[in-house]
Amino acid sequence: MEEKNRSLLKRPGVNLPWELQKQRIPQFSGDEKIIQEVWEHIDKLAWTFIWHVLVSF
Amino acid sequence: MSKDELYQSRLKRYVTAMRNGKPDMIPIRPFVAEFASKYAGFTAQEATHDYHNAIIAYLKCAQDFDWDALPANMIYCWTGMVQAMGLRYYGIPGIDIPPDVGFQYKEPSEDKAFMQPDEYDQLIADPTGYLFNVWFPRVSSEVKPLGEPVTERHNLALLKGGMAMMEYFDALGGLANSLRTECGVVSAISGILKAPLDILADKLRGYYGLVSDLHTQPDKVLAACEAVMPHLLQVALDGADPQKNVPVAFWMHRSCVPLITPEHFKNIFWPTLKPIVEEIWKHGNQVLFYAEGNWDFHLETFRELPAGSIVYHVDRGDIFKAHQVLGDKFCLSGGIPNDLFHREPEEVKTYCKKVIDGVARNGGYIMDAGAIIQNDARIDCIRAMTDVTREYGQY
Repeated sequence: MEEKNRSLLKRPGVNLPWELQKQRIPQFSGDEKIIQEVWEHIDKLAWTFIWHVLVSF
Repeated sequence: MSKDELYQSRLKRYVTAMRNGKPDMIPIRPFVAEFASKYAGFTAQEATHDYHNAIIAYLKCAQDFDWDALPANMIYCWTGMVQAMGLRYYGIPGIDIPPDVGFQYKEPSEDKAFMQPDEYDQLIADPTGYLFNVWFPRVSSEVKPLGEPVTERHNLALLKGGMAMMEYFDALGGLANSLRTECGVVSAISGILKAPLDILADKLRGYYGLVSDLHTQPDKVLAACEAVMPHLLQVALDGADPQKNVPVAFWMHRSCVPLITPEHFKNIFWPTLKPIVEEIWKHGNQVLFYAEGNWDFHLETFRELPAGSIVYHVDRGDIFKAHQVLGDKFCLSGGIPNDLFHREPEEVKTYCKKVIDGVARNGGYIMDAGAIIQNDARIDCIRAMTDVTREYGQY
């Protein structure tokens, strides 16, 4: 998937979609699901930051 | 009565009124801001630049006044944090403005608006990306735009902003807990909402730029509002009370007649706000319509919302008219003009009784000033509002 399609995946809570980040990982030696879940959790923290700068501060 | 029993009785009172019912007495929920810092002996600078002082001030107010609910810090802008991020749109007490003046917002001139009129497509295509890559570097004196060399200040501004925001939100959670356990007071609101059109005016295009766009490119304005809707909904839901007791606070700014036209309200503001409010209600949370200024022109429109889904707060509008139009569907709050707090306590009491008689006899009313209470309010006047509500507001 190309970077230019990233915007298609930019739903609320998302900055760097997992679908894009996954392309940087050649293979998973363990549980892919836990890596995805934690990636998305921390990615959402950055989304939360910028939207609160806009809305709250 | 134990603190927990006190808390439970106040919570029941507050929630019953918000559901448009009749509790044991009228709840008192004053949105005190720099009044709290004055009461506790702090300057506006001391309470705004160091939130620990604001927390001390709020807890002192909660101990000394018989209030049922308080917002956990209406001196909500931690200016230490926004200074670390280099945000350009604040007037900071003790730096830009005198230490006894509450923090201010500064809007740039129209030609220097933080979002330019030809950037709607960028915002619409990727709102979050636009905010990070275009808007944030413009509103921050420290953060560099894409393509420019990264500096130490850029790195630090991002890191400090993120870490400080987490610390601050954690502290506000702690304040809400302390209000409950130490004072038996309910944390009055949870979560934040602003209307898409207000966001465009407040922080992106500026008021003059947005009004110009409404006439020159209304389709783009509508599309931009629609693009940010899901994000604003998510922000509101993320902060909403999981117990579904207290409402999401919706701060209503300049998107009312005559600041915009009735057509723009009907075709852009309302269609991009109403679905958000309805979705929040579907999740079980009310929304507090904090109608700053005068929104009387739109009262009939607000009736479109499901009964009980909002609490309608009156600032400069006519609370008696609001009660006529909305009182059968929604709880009301406020309607006590802030300039009364410059006068004598007896005048405050007289007016509060008038409002109680006019709108509160069947429940569904919460006592509060019309606008955020700052440090110009006399302490004896706020005490008068509290005392008369307790004396005269029993059911």
